[in-house]
Amino acid sequence: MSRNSYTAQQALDLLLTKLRAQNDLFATSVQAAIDAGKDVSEEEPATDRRKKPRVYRRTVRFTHEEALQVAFDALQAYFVEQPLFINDAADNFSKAALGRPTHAQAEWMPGGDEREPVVLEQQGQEKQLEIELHTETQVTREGDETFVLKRQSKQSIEEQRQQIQTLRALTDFSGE
Amino acid sequence: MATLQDLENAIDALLNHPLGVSQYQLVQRVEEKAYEAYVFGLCLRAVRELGVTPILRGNTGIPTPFVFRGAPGQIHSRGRNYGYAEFTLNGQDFEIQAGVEFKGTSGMTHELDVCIMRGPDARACRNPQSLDDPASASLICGWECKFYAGNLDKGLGRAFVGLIDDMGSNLRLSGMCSNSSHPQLRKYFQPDRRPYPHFRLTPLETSNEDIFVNQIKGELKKMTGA
Repeated sequence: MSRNSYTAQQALDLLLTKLRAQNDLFATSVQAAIDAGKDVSEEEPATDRRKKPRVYRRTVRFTHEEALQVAFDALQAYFVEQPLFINDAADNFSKAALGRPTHAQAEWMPGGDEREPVVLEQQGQEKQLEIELHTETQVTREGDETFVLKRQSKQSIEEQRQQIQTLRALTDFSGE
Repeated sequence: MATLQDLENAIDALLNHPLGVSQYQLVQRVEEKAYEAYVFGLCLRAVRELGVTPILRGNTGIPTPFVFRGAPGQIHSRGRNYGYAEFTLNGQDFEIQAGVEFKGTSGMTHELDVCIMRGPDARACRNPQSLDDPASASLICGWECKFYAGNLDKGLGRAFVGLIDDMGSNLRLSGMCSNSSHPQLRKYFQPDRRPYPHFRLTPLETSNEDIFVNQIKGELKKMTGA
């Protein structure tokens, strides 16, 4: 008895069509991950019975069921893992301290063996993390100079994780 | 029995969520760098677990905000207040840097996405009287960081092995970090002195995070006798 009233191919087509309608670039990158295929080991029976069969590598395309899982992995990378990277980085940076130079040691020279004396501040407090968008050597400068890494709520990330689990369950064709 | 409408509703709920396609549009241009920030954070955790407080510094002042380079750059660059972290373990100073270029043994420069280097060498390269790229001998640990939504590209692994080969013999720990994986690359990294494959290094796989952090702790303890 089938659990679903649709085939894996229909499910994959629907997912890619929906994705393409929202963001063609994203759909193309997911399609590329699918189209990369997979390596399998193939066995060629030996012509001489005394010899072992020859095993060789062959790159084959994913089945529609496998392609769906590859697509969900790609979606998970952006919708679940990326927010988790930012939250995890924010956690670890918050536990570090900011170093404020004291300049108490007037004799301290940059480039010397001694580390610049600093007082530690804001340990345990959130730090603002930014990624440079306009690099030093870039000639044309338009838009924002930097990108601020913003935390996402654990609840939102968990909702997306659960949603992907639901989709994996809805596209499980094993046992049919 | 699930219908095509059930599936469509589930897909819509995923893609239209605030962390759906709009999240992709937001982070797509910084996806690699966000992953580097995550790996940098794991280095901070390793230092902290050694009982030391890592100190965040900036090239031109207090790092508020802490800025990651958007492209490979020089350690002494003052174009922006790029962030780094410093720490002292058993009397030895170190720095954690991101996106900094090093001089390889061949003289060619190479970028390390995230690295730990000797503190005095980093300070010497920032000294206005002796601005320079750090020598490969100042590098202790170096990691290539790759965020991939699909399978990793094999070429990245080959390129990183070539880079590590040019970084001399002081480098104690190297690895390729990725949220993704590649079965052939895992085999390619097996020989001695090749980078460690930190594949599926993501908060979804905490055991892999522990391996990464423990490697750093072990190597720094061994090096400093801590």
